[in-house]
Amino acid sequence: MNCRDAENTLSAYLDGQLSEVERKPLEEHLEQCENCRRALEELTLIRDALRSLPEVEMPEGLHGRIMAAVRAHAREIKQDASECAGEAGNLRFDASKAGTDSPSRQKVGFFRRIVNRMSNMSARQWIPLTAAAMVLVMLLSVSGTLFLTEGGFGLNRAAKMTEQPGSPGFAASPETPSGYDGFGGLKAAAPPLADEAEGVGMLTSGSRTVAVAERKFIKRAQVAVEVSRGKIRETAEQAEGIVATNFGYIEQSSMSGNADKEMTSYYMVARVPSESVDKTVDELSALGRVTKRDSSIQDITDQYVDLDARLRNKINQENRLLEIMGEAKTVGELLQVEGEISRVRGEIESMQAQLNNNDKLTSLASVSFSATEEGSNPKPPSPWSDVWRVFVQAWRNLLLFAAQVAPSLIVLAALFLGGAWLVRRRARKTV
Amino acid sequence: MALLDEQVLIEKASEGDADAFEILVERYEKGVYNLAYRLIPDRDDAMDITQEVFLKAFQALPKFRGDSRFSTWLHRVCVNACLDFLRRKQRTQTYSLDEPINLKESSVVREVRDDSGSVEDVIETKSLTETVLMALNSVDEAHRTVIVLSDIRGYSYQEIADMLGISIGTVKSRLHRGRMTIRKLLPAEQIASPVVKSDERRDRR
Ligand SMILES: [Zn+2]
Repeated sequence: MNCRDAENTLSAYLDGQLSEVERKPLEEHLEQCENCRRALEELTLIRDALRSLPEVEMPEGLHGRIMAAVRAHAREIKQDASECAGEAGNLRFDASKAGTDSPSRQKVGFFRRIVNRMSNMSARQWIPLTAAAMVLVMLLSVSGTLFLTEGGFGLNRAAKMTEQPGSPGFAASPETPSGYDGFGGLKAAAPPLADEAEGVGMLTSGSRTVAVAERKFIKRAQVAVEVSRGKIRETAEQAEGIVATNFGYIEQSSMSGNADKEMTSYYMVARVPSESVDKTVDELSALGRVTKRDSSIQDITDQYVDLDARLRNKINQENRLLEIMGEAKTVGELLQVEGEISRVRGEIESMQAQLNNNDKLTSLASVSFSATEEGSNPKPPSPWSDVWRVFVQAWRNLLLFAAQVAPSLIVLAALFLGGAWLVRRRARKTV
Repeated sequence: MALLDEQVLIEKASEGDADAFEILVERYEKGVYNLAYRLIPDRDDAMDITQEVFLKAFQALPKFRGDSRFSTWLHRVCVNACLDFLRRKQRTQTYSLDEPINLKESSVVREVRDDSGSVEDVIETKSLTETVLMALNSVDEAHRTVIVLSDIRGYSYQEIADMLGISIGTVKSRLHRGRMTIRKLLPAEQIASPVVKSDERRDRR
C-alpha cells in the first residue's frame, strides 16, 4: 500500500468505517510510515475538536418568530378550507398553485394575484405607489383630525369627559393622568359614559360600522374638592361612608397635615361597582367645592379577546399533552411529557390571573377622591395662569394631533418596510 | 428519541394544528438552529433559515411518510434550505464555486496572523477548537455540510447519504477531503504539536 491510498482511507478508519479487509493493509502501512501516522493523529485532533464544539443557544425571540409564521400559515389554511368548504381535502396544499375552477376559489386567487403582482414589482415601480399611498394617508389623517376636533365621534376607543368648574388654572394642570391611560388612545367629546359602558360598543372602521357584542370597558373617575378649614376628618368619614353605601371598598387612603398636626388633605382610591360610579361621583362631589371632576372609559376588548384566545390555545395544548401522557410507555417519556405539561400549566395560570384581574377591573370601576382645606394650598390668581393655560391647551392639541397621526405613520412605515422586503425578496429570487 | 407521542403530534400538526406543531418546534428548534448556524455562520441568516425550515416543514408535513426519523427529515429540510441559501448568495458574489480551495495561503491563516502579529500570539489566544472552526468556515459547502453533519451533529455515513441523496462513497470522500482541507488550513505550530500539549491548550480555555 502506498501513501496516497493509505491517506485516502484515514478518515474512514478513524470513524471505524473500514472493513476488516481494508483495515489490515492500512494498519501495516501505518506501522512503517511516520507521515501517515502523523496525518492520522492530526485528523483525530481535528475531529475531536469539532465534536467538542458546544451547542449555541437559541437566539431570543426566534421561537416566537417561528410560531408566528406557522400560525399565520395555519390560519391561511383554515380560511382557504372554510372558503372552499365544498372541495376540502387536498385543496390545502395546492391552493397556492392558483386554481380558478370555482367562483369561491377565484376570490382567493384574486388576492393571491395581487400579492404576487406586488412581490414581482421592481423598486422603481414601488416608489410612485408608495408616494400615492403616502398622500392618501395624509389626506385621510388631516380630514380625520378636522372631523374629530369638531366633536365628531369617529375612531375613538377611549372616550373621555371632563368638567372643569373650578379655577381654570388648576383644572388644566398637566398632571391629569387618568385620561392618558388608553395606549395613547384618542380623546374626544363623547356622550356621557353611563350610557355606553358594559353595553354593546360600536367600533367604526373605515366606512363599515361593526357592532361588537359585549365589549369590555374599564371605567375610572376622579373627583377633587375643597372643604372649609378643619373639615378634612369629617369629609374623609363621609367619603368612606359614600363608598360603603355604594357597595364599594377603599383600596388605598391617606391623610396628611401641616406642622401643627392639623389634617389639611385627604386622598383615597376606591373600587365601586361600575353601575354605581356616577352616583358615587355625584355624592362625592357634594362634599365640597368641586375643583376637578373627570371620568374616563378604556376599551380593553381587544386585549381581552386576544388573551382569551391564547388561553384557550394553551388549554387545548395541555389536554393534548395529558392524552399523550396516558399513552406513554416508559418512564423517560412520562417525565418528558410531564415537564411539558407543567410548563404549559404555568402559562395557563398566569393568563387566568390576568383575565381575572381584567374581570375585576371591568366589573369594578376605580374612583379616586381628594379633599383639601380651603386656603391650605393658596393659589392667588396671576397673569401667568392664563399663559400657562394657553400653553397647556396648545400642548394638548399637539398631543391630540400626534395621536391622530401616529397610526398613519405606522401604516407608512409598514408600507416602506413591506416594499423594501418584497424588493429584497425579489432580488434574492432572481439573482 | 423516537417517542411514541411524536407520531400523534405529527398527525395532528399535518392536519394544520399549530399547537401540536409547537411542541415539535420546541423539541427540535435548537438542533435545527445549530445545524443552520454551523452551515451558515451568521446569526441573522441562521435565524431566517430556521424560521423558513419550520414553516416549510409545517407545510410539507402531510408528505412526511415516516420512513426516516422526524428529526432526520427536519435536518434534511434544513440542509437543503442552507444549500439553497448559499447558492443564491454565491451567485451574487464574483468568485466561482468551482474554484479550487486555496490551501496554504487561506484567508483563515492570514486572518489569524493579521489579528495578532506573531504566530506565538495566535497559539496563545486561539484554542484549537476556535481555529478549527474558523478553518471549517472556509471549507467549501459541499465538504463543510458533510463535516457538520458527521462531526458536529453526529450523523452516521448512511444517514448523511440519505439526507443529501449521495452515495456512502461520496460521503466518505467528502468527509475525508474536508478534514484534510482543515488540516492544511491550520497553523502548523498548532496542529503539529503532540496530542498532550494541545489538550492542555484546550483545558486552559
Ligand atoms: Zn504513508
